[in-house]
Amino acid sequence: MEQTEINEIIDVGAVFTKKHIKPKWFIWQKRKYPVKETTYTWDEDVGSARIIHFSVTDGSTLFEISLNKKTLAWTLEKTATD
Amino acid sequence: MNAFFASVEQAANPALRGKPIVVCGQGRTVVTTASYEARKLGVKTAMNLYEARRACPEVILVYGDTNKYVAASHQIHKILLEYTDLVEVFSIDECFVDVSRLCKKEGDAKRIALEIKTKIKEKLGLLCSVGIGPNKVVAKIACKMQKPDGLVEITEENISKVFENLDLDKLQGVGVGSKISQKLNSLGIKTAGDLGRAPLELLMHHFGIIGRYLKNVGLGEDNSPVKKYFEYEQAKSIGHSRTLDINTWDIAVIKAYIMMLSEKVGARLRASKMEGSTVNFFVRYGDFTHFSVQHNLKTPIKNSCDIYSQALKLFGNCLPLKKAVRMLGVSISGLCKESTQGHLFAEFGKKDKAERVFDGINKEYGPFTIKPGSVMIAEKFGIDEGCGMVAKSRRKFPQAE
Repeated sequence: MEQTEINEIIDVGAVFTKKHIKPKWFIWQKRKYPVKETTYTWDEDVGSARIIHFSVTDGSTLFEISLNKKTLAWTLEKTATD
Repeated sequence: MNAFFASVEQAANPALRGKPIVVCGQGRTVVTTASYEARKLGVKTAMNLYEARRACPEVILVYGDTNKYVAASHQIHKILLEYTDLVEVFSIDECFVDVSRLCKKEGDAKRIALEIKTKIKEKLGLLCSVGIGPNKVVAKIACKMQKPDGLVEITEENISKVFENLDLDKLQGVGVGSKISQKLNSLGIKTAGDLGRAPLELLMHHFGIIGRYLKNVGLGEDNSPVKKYFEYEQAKSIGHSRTLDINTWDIAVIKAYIMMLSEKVGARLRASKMEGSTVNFFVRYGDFTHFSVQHNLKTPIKNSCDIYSQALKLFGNCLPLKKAVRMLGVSISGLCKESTQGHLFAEFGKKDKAERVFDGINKEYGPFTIKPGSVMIAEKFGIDEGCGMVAKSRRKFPQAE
């Protein structure tokens, strides 16, 4: 299992329901990745900002993306491949 | 919870499911948790990574993410709090829940336990073992009897029957560790039933005051209540320790680590509005021998620089270094509420003011946003902000997302 730290701001298409945030796709390095499954969600506080993390997969690669609820910026945190 | 950290990682990453994995830290580290697949192949908790790989060459290493586990733990608490507020958090992956009042209204504990297990599995994809008993000790023993995904009930009526042939190693979770077990074995006490029948005088003679506790464990007796979730227990000490990435003789690096640890301890003390009058310093050497020393102060302290200077004095006892340093720890005990009395001379209040400003910035932008320059030496060796468990004082109700 190889994890690569990316830490880049990305564009994300997401659906905000009353209870959940569901990322649907994201664009990284000019390529659009569909989110086929969100496998896990967790959050943390960094200073006064709440960061929500999502483990998502496009079917072949696992990505960790995050939403900073204070700045509303999405970040691609890391990728994991076999 | 069963193999909690590893199970969370497997739930988060479908590619890890069904595979032998271990959760570990980066750099020089040990196995924090091994998945059940890895355990079957001989990997155990606390093995170093070399031993883990030797036992199971195909084992997959996953770097732990404390935030992920804390968030999962909060979600589990949220599920338990749907039933009662009598939820006592025992560790990041263990809770006691008192459902006795609920059972009077809504039927038996087993049904409630099954419902909780199902909810945890559905919402988080995690398995857990539940032990049901008339008190915390018996429930904990029951929980250990069937893993993973277990559900064991020991009723008041069948305690003696279950305990009769229960090996002492099944009592490890309730304070009967391997050394105590060995000593009990040498006294001819082989099972929990034997422990319950052992004369109190014999146990007190060999184990001192914990002899009475051991006798109660053997009898399945425990009068301690399950505490309420929001009933915070006051911490007895606040401390941090850190294993260095490589053993070092370099005094500048050691001092930088002591500064970093003092900063972390000070920040937590001030955040919980506490101060302490005993400074404890711990060092582990490369050969795994250790030295620890503590010093009682006349006046309690909370400022990081005061903690640092006291810790540094205690470190002086280790000089000149005879062995390379592997691990350092700083803690403050003898805690009390911080004094709100101002300083007679303005000069003395400057440190407090400065640290309030630093704390404010770090609270807004994250830990170590502003820090002493010497901490940067330690940073080169890597600072893991997530190290250690989340203190009870930092626990908060999980937010719905």
